[in-house]
Amino acid sequence: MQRYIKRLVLIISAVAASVLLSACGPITEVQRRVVVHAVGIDEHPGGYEVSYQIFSGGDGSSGGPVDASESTVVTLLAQGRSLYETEESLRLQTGKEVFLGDTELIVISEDLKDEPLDSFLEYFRRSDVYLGTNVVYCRGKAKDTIGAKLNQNSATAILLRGVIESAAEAGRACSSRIIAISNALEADEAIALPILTLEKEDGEDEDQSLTDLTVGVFGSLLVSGDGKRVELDENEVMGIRLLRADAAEMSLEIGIGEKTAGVRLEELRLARRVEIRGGRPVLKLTIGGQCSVMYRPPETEEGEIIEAAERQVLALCESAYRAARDSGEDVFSVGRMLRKYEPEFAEAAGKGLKEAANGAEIEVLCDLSKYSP
Amino acid sequence: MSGGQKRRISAPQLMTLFLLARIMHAMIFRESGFRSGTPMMLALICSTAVEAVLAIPAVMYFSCGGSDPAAELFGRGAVWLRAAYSLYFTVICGATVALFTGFLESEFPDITRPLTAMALILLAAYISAGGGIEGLARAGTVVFWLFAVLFAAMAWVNEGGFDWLNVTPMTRGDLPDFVRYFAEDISSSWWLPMFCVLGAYLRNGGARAAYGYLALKLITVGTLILLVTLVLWRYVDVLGYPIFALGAYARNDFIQRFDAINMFVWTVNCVAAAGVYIFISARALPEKTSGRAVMALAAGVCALIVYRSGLEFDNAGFLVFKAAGVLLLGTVVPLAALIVKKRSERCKGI
Repeated sequence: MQRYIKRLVLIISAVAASVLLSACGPITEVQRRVVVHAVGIDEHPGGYEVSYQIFSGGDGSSGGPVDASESTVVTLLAQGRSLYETEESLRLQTGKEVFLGDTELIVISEDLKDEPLDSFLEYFRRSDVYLGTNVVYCRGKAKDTIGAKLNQNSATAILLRGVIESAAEAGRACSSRIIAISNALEADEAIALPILTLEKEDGEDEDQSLTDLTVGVFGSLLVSGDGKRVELDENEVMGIRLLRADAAEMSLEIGIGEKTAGVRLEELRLARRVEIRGGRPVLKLTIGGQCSVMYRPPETEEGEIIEAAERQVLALCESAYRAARDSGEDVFSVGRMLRKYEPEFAEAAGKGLKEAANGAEIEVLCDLSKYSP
Repeated sequence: MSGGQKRRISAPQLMTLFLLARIMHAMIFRESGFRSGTPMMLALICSTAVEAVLAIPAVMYFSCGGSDPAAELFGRGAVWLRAAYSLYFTVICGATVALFTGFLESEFPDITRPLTAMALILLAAYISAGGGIEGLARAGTVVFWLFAVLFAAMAWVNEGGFDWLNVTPMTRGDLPDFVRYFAEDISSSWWLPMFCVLGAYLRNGGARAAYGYLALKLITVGTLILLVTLVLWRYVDVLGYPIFALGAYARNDFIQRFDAINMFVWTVNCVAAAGVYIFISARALPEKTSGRAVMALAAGVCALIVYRSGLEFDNAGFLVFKAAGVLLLGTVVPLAALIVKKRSERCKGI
């Protein structure tokens, strides 16, 4: 008998634990939540105007399957003096709890580029926001980018994230995840954030003005903790990615004489070393990888293509180095490299490490001889 | 102690119980300015080496056929020493439950009231302790495998890449961090006093249990520190709980968020660990009394005090209490028991 009582107590405890600790407690049901997929932040007198792209699947009272098509994606606007206020405003507007856990993308208008990035990140650095969420800038208003109709489709968060990922795959954009930005700023390094640009497609009729838009990444903004902002072109971003060991693949258009060829650099690797020469750090980098030809002019030799690709890579690195030096920021993690490989120099430099890192000379070697025709 | 053949556990089972207690500590450990890196890794290696030395008296005592260090020292009058063990583990149990409730409250707000959560966990732990050490050991093994699979899954589907620049050599400036982490790790080694109590239930292989645990701890906590350093780095300070942070950057098409799974596994781990603490605490009371219930209630009071006062495991007073318990109850007592045992054996020989 006692055994059965014991079992009964155990079952009741297990049920009570699962009910009270996880499920049927005073939690918010999914219909009572606003599930945010993307956030756009614009300037507004005295604060911000935030566009929240949300999934609106109905209240579930009608029954049947949930309509998950793009017609259920809507963008709502909320104003406030801070991002917390805009969230509260959205909550009051919809009468639902705001859920940011599914946010895929945060778009900041370039009008706000001079505001410290930390003032936005502070709001998103919380445990319910995924730390892999992308943060990007955009030309013009963020609400236009978030709410744009692209070729009959909504600019859904997933589509916009796809655009950024494609640009990153091609080597034209750096990783812009919250965690990467936050760690870079913490290490007193600068980071290049992609700029989304909404453009009208060429050759379309005027009357299709609402549906002939495309979105792409055509540049980046170098952001640092001290508020300095430098715009970077695609070549500079590609160079930065190469010098930060941040690219495994990259597509290049190279010039051979007066003709052009297209190559794909794969299995890119970067060997980094730093040494102190004449009291100044010198960064020694070796880029290696495989060069696959996508198209080439007729009668071009293998050696010619590799040589041209190597020249192009070195030119990209050169342009990135110049941009970084002009910005006065540590773009290539030289400070951390000094801490790792030259700890005594780093300790002696103390707070002047960033200046020492920016003043570093860079020597780059490139070997793409692993040729694949 | 009523220890018949039926009440014995194996060395791997005891090792698992130690590991669950250590993992529980790692799960709920949180401090501001958390800096994962080389000083922490070196502190872990050094503290594990020191623990290996501190464990020698207990290992030797149980290897020599000893079963109860307290009884060895004071015979029937060992009540006060047992009470010390009891008090120590009641506080540890209360703090574990309170800090776990703090974790639930911060990461899963509005789910339930903290007092209800504490009461439920302690009730479940009280019932688990009623199953005896064999039951706890079996349940602990299941919980350990749950944790191992979850940990491996979180590491496998983690979206972050390794940044080896985060691993820097230790400099003089890192010394305070190293000392702090070393002290924290040593003070969290209450597996040593646990060993002194639970060694009595061990079938054989005291050395295997102790050193096997230390090796497993080094691998588990070392892997965690390495992953946090290489993948999350400073961001772990934002999220607070290192193991939870690992899950926060892990997702794939099948599992988008690990929060709920983490909460489930951590809850059962907390129940298993608290169950062992209550079981140990109850040994001080005479068998005729409702020892477990009294100790569960006492742990509840401790949990309430810790919760209300907002104490954390890295609090200086707490640190001293934990470390004193580890050294006195985990090393000095078995050392004295070993000396007494050797002397009495020598006398008998004469």
